[in-house]
Amino acid sequence: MSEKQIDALFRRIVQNDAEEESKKLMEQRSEHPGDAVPELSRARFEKMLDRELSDEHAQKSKKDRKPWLSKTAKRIIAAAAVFVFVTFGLMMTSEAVRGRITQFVVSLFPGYAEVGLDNIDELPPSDKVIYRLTYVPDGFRLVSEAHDVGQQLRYRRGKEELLEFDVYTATAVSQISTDDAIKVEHLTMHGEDALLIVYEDGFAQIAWSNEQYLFLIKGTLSEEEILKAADGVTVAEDYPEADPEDPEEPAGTGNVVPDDSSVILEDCYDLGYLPEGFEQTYWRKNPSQLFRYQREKKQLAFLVLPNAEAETPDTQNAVKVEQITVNGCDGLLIVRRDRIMVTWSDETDTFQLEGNVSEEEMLKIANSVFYGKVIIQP
Amino acid sequence: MFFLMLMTIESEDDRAFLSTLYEENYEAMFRKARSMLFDDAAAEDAVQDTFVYFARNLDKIYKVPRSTLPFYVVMCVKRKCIDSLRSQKARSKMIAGSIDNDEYPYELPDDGISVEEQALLSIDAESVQKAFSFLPESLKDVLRYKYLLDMTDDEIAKLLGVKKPTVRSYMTRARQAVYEICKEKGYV
Repeated sequence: MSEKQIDALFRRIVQNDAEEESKKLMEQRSEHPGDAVPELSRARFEKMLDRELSDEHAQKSKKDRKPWLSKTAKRIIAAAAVFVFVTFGLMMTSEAVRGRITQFVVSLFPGYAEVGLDNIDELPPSDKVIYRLTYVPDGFRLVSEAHDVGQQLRYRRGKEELLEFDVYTATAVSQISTDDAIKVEHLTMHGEDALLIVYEDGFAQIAWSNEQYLFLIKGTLSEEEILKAADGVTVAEDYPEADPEDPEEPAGTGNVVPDDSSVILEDCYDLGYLPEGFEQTYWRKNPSQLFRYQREKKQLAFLVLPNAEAETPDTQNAVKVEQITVNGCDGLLIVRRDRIMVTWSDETDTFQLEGNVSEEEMLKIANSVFYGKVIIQP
Repeated sequence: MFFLMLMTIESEDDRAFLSTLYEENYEAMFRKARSMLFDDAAAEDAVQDTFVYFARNLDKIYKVPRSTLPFYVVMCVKRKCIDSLRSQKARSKMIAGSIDNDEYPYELPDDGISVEEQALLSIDAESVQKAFSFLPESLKDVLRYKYLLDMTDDEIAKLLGVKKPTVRSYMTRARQAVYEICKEKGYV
């Protein structure tokens, strides 16, 4: 009850405040406010109105018309079609018909697309499927890998940007939303039919298949980047056979294997690269993340702060100050006699890496920072 | 034929409404956008884009009381500017003002309403209103996004480039700050 009362109280307060502010704005208005509008602005505005108001009414009358088939009916038909197609495929026994009848099925419906692979050939062997992306956009780092049914690779850039690469086997159907899509295009990828969907908020997806698998790549990528990533998919021939006794290597921890005494930090930043011999000597996650490392007399410190708390770094008495780019973000390299600092910021956080290793090593470490799960060994 | 005429009349009313809104508020909107983007062309784009939003959401705009409309449209262009700045990877300090942890060093509750927020209900509305006017703009804006522009927590989170729980924290912080101001000014 209190929450509603407080909401109601603040709604009234904000509305009253808006009235007062509006009065001030109206007092500041000139007698003929229209005279202050530049001609070019007005012309642009009129053109916009012509376009938007005619579109608006076209959309309204479209919405008013009853669709020939309701959305639910279409989905039922689609599901039935897939079911029939799969059942028909499974029932076929003739050797002449068997063989490579693999179809990449694409069906477009209002609001979503269904992509699927129908393979009535024998199921592929259950060995691990190992496909790799030979191209990922700058700043993305592999944060997790799974090989349960098919394969799932996850990459991250900063906190918000994600790239997912999935490989599915045999008969699989996936529904992909086309809401807010600015482009839905059939094309060819690795000589096979593919479907590309690009969204207005900077997200993109692409799906295609080969004889045995369905591939899906999606993430906060531009059209160019996702096409390049898809084009760069390749089989990793030299992937070692996993020893079933070995625990799966956790993401982002080098060769650290968690045991009962480990501390697992979710939603943290970690260093993907550390020079050989460095060991972690200190860690803290709150109020801000701080990791320290040491190798004999060499030290490294890695600090992450919300942008609102970060201060401008001190560059006085620095031997060199250079603007750089780290993980796609603007940053500074500050070289002093006894240490080097690399600092950069993304949309939410500021990162500071300080140490007395070489400039080259510092930049390599900085560019290896990624977001994910961190395992701290005692 | 009648249907077509109805469409035309509707369209003309909408056009007249938007044109008046544009003429009356262009100056104030452009000034606000200019002060945030430091660029005439970008400010012009922000104003035009805001009116595209109005044209596509006429139902929403018609519901805004006339007495608050001038400020409402200025807040809308401010939101557009923040969107524009965020997409240019600007630092969140510039976008949201400095919602500084040190400014109001209160412990935020995990969930539910804090004691301070509850206490606001027992203070007279006029005093709470006065206290609101002393809030920093950054905290006022967060409350305005929710209670004036009717944005959801998701939309506010996307605008400010933060996570949804952080928006809840900002709300709580802003409301608690109003209480602290009431205390300071002796309204409690």
